[in-house]
Amino acid sequence: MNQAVGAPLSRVDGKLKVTGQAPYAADHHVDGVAYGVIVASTVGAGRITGIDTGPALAQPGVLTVITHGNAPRLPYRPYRNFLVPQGERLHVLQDDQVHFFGQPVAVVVAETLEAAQHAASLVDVAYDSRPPTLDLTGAPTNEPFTYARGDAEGALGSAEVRLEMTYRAARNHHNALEPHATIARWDGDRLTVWDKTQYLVGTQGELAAVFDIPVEAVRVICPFIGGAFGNGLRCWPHTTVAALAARVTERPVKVVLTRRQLYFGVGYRPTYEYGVRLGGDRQGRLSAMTHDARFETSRYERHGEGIQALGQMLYETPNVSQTFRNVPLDVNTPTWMRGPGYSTAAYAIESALDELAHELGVDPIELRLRNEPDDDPASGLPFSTRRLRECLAVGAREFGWHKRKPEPRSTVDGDRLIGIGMAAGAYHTLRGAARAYARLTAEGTALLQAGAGDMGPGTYTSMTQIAADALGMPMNTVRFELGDSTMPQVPPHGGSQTMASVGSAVQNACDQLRQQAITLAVTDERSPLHGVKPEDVIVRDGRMRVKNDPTRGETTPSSPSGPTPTRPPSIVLSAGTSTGPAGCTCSTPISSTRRRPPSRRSPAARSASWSSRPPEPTRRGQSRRGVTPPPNTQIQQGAPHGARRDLAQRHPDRPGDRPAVPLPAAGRGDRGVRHPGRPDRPGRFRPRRAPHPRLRGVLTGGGAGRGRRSHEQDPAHQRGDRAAGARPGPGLPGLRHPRPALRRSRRDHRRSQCLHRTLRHLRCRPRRLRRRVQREARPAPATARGRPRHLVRQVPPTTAPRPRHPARGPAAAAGLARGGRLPDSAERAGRLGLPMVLGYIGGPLSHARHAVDIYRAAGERAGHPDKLRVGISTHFYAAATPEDARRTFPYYHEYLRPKTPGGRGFVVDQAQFDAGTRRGNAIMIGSSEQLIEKILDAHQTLGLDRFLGQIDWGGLPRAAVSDSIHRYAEEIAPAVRATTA
Amino acid sequence: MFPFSCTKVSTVREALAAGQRGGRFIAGGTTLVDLMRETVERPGALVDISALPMRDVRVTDGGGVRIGALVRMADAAVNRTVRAAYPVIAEALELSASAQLRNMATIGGNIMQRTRCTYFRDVSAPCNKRRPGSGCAALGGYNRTHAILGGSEHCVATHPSDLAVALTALEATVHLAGPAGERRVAFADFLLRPGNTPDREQALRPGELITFVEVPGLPRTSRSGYLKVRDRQSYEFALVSAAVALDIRGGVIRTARVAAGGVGTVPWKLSAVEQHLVGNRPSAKLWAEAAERAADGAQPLEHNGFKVDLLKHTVERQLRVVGGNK
Repeated sequence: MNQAVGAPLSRVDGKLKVTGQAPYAADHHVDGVAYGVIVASTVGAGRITGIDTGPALAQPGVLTVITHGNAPRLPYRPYRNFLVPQGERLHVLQDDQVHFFGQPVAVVVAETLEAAQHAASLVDVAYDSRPPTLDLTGAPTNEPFTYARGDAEGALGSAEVRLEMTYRAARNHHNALEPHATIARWDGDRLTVWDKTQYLVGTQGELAAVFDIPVEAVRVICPFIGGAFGNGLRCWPHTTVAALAARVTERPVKVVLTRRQLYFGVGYRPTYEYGVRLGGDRQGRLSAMTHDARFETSRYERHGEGIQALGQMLYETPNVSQTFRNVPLDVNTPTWMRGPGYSTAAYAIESALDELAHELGVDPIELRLRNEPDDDPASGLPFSTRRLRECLAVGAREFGWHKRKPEPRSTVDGDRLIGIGMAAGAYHTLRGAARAYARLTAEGTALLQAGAGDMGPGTYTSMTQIAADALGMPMNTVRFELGDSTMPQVPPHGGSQTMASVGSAVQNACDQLRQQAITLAVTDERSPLHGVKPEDVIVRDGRMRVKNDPTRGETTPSSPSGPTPTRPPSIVLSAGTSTGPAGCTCSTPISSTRRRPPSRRSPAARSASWSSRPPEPTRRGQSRRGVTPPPNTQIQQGAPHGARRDLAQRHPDRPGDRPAVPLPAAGRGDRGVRHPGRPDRPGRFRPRRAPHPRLRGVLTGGGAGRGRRSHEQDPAHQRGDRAAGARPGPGLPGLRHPRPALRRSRRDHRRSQCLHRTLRHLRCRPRRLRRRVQREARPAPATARGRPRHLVRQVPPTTAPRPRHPARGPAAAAGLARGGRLPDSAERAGRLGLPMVLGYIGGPLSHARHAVDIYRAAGERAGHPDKLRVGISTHFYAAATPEDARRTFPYYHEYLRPKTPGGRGFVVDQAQFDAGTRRGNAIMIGSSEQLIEKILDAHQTLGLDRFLGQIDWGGLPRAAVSDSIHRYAEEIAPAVRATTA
Repeated sequence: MFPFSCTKVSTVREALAAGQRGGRFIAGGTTLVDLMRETVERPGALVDISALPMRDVRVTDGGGVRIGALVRMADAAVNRTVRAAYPVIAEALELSASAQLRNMATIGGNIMQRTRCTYFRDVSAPCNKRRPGSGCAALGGYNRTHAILGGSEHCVATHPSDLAVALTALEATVHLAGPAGERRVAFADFLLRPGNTPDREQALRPGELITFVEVPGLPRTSRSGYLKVRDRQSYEFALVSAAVALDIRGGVIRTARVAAGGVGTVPWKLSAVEQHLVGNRPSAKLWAEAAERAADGAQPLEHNGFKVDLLKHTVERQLRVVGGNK
């Protein structure tokens, strides 16, 4: 069911990032932008006694220098969200007080960055400074956070073993690759900021409070984050500075912090002094643990983080006391970074436990296991997930823990001393309320929006995957947008909660949207799905259909694509233009109204809007910016089935696509009209087009590598293809038809479109494709020992769809090179459990029976008979009639004959050709009926799992190849599947 | 960055003339441009000498090698002569900076580079090197990376170059062109200890230009190498480094050249270690005894006491690496 989730996809934003086109905060182009450079305090504490801005203002290009002396007083309305610490935030450029080194004391705004930088270096600030207090030790503290259970002091006093340790954790600065940056622009009383932030809502609220404007008047945009690690969770002073400067200068202003300014312009993980005392028995069972820690904060805010949790629940300790003290110093406020508090506590606790293990001579892992709690010792409740035992066991096994020598300096490798250690850690699981917006368009694309962030975990891609699966649509028809405060609100992009929170909202929105579409279909009497129970309708590959009847659905397929049997003879055409049995309906969207004349819209379509407000025009690239958040889901258009009917009615004489061979269980409805329904190309965040799952194909090395002449040079090919219709080529009268009628017929047009759509999946134009196929199909460097060649991973994924579906057998190798004699190769393939493809040029199909027997016997001996897969590869052409097939002889002859005197090749005469194409022989050239018969024969004889057809050989005209593909997809493959399923 | 002019010159004469008018020479620019951005350096005029013909490596008549001042660090490091005869130079270069910087920076510029003392590079801090007489913030400040040898009450900043350590060990000579003609200065005399004038870092007269560096030939039996110990494994300056070249023949050390980096205000020639080695047979005991002399005269500061032991261990390790683990 899941096609996108779990699939090895490229990131949808990957190309933008690696080509430098992803706009990070400072990259946005804003007309008329001026540049702000912050002048930072050079003393750690004190007050400003004077600022000389004269030399700076005298520089050409400088617009203004804003200091506390001339800055407008900002309202700084009280504001707090759950990420903002207690206290009062820094009021930037509002007074003469200096609280920490690097505090902004002025901002220079100029026409160019260089002018602003130079002028900033000329601003002369005089201070009345005092020595700052920067050392945790001895400094007075705030009221502590405390926790206690049992009597820790008493238990320590009576413990057999006591240990007392103090650990210091140094400051950590986040230092993401992207520096913090803000572009601020005022439009009247409305403020827009392009900012690096992990929490759009927080920045929006903070700025609204600072400037005392409504929250709705602030828009925050952040489509990309170049790493943040927690540092984007708050709105920092420079963002206010940018907005302030923009207001003063009445220009958009960009402020980018320098690398140096990142050490004081934004937060950091604070310094800790963490004292641990342990008490226990000689077996290492803990009875008491005390935690006394001090950590730094600023003088104006009290930083807090998850320092308490691990001491309370990491180990079964009956008596615990915790005292955590904030130490206000002359520093800027710390902030959260990568497991804030949790990692610091784990460092201290785990180091102390190692000391205890060393003192007692107990293995460190054993010590942990002896103290493993059954339930959460803090609450007495069961853990939702813990699995530390399992984690330790697996880790010990994987790292070779048993080889560890516990004595220090006992393992030496050359000049190096090798140590092996372990530590446990834990982190809570967060999830917050989130909203998402989903919209389905008439073009068969979906748009998802949520005000989330993507600082690297792949939000763009993962949300697109969820939506694609929930809507049953291909990835490339779904676009997910984030990073704008006008989008639905979600929790901060931190604390590892985006997938759980936003992902759930996206799933829910898409589920609702899908249900609405299904409801629409089953209640519309003009739909093939009319009257079906909604729960019996599924969405897959961009169409709605009945669960147990693939033929009955919204856009009708030309052939059934039944549920995938566990091990079907999967039939694949070679040469890259492979297509699966679903053929041309593969990317047909759920709904398509493109071709529907407005006058014939079905009633359902006219009333298709569920939204509380009329939907906006569904133009691509337009988001709903500037409006209040939309309701959870909307469906934009519906009722596609009317369109199909219209078409059918307008072309009653259209030749049906009904297959010439008997097909299983044809569905109801006017089957046969395919909606080319071009999937709309999503705009800027277009994902790479992944090969359609149905297009599982394999490139084989046989045909195109033979002979030196490429198809492009082949005169037969040129006659047949490029000059088709201009003058007759050899043979194939049906194909070299001058065909004024046929060529322009709707059917032909549609077929051509289908072919091109298939090719588009492969991102090739036909000519380029052929060249690529030839290039790819050159014999790979196989060794004389017959190492597998043509491993699929050698083939660029964009040129050939890969067999990667786990249910369809191993994806590793497409074949085993025949380096030695056939029986040896077959034996090796069987022994290794690799799939085997036998290439045929001619001869009876039973010829390979011997090799297959050896292969299977070897596989069984090696103990993996279930891994064995056999395929054959032959030249293939499906014609309308046996006579037509016979007329391909000139192409076949030309194709196989030696192209140079004495060169490789065969001369085949018509009689040999005729014999080769007869039943029982290998050349798969014939009518659909003949070929079905032959493939089934091969299946019976050899136990065939896979059939590879060389479709493009000898310069066959393109139209002929196209027809052959169609017959294959629409007639042959379904019939073979139906029979062998 | 303060406004400045920049002139490109194509001959040494033009360069010297421009230098006499007060122009600062610039070639790779990897250090000077940085310092100009930080406003540590504020030259009014730059003279771009990168087109001068000083970019070849040549073997001298005495069996040594002369490396042009404009040879890029990366080019010198891969030069076959240098690699064959002076592994210590090639290793010192390859352990310096980053690949991008080595592709731009020149040998002359490498020797001329200025200290990485954070107070020197922070224009809001007092620094006698940057602003004579303003005081030294490092002496009472955070001085973990500073010098334990060769400091003065005015400055304790280390010289950051790895190449200079190797050149000090090998007793190279710096060749200069100036308005008054050409002259040569022993490397040991070229870089100056801070003393009372920490702003004066090289024995260069005004307008003088380095043309090439000459390294004397080593006996064919010599072996050499460079060890750099630092806080992270790449793109970082040395806490301590050791350049060692030993000539061992007949089981006896005939000549020894040892210098250390990261510990002195200039690359520190370890003469006491050399004397202890010469004439003796290599042994683990000898390496340890010789290395014990490495920190003679060290005066550690508040935060860099660890460098005393680290220096001894580094020298001992590198003696073992070059001289053999016997």
